[in-house]
Amino acid sequence: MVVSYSLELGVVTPRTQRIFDLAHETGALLHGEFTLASGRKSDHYFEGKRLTLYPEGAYLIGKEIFERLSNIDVDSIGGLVLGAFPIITAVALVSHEEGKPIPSFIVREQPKEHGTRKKIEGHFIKGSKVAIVDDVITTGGSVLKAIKAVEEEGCEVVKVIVIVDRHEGGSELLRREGYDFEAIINLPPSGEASISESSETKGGVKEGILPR
Amino acid sequence: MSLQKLREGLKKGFYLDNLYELARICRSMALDTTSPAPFFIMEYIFLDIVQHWEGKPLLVEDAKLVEAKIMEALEGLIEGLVADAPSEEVFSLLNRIVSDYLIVFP
Repeated sequence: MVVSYSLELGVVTPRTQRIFDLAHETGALLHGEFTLASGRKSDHYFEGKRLTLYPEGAYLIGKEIFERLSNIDVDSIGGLVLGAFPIITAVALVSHEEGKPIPSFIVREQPKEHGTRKKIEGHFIKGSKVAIVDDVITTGGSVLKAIKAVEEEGCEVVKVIVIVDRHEGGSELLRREGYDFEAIINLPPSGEASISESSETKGGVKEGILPR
Repeated sequence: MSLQKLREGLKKGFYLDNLYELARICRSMALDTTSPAPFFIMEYIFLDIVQHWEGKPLLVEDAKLVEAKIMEALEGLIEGLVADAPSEEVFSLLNRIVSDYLIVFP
């Protein structure tokens, strides 16, 4: 089998290529010159929910993340509202279908103001091994909020997976802190984007370009 | 909060985080003066731009276009307030801001 790579996907598989294509088809991933909320300029824009709330997108993301967790000892999967919500639901559904259920939980930005005042909702066990997911990582703020919340409850974060890494410092920070981090799609900083042009496939794997 | 802060904030340009900050400065100044109308109107404008832009891809050229259309009027008003311009002049500057704004976001 020919193993191929692209700058955006690393090792390209039919599924990751389809996720990448679908990100464009659903309008989740746009290319152009954008002003971000922080004032930074970017040559791409990613709106994760357009992908994760699309039926095929939800299914493929669920399958991809489930497989990336399949060799890891993990008790549950969670993340910060709102970006992580459709992702953990998709993974939970796939895990049930595959007969290896992974329970899920959500982390609120702020604790509930009434009733239980919980910050973490769902199937969450204190002191357990958890995976944290999100749709996109930029500076890492959202992911770190979720990590901090579960670590305060004695949990060990065994994996962090995002759909898109914008390479604006967040993933670098997490790796420096020792977290096992993965992104499905990597968007290089402005001016360095280089999309795979090849459409030939060999052995079911699409040929791309080698990372430079 | 001071007009100087508002002036400095405007120089940073229009993007979501800064628009929220500009609105916050205006609200604070409106609460701290006996003539709150200019600040209250500017706060409304900044937050209204946020409403148009938040949660959507914002092209650099679109942001620059809005800046180009209303920045001059905003700066004019701030200079008028710094110079303690007569209320008729401030009213006229406010009308210009609102007119320019309504051209961009009718």
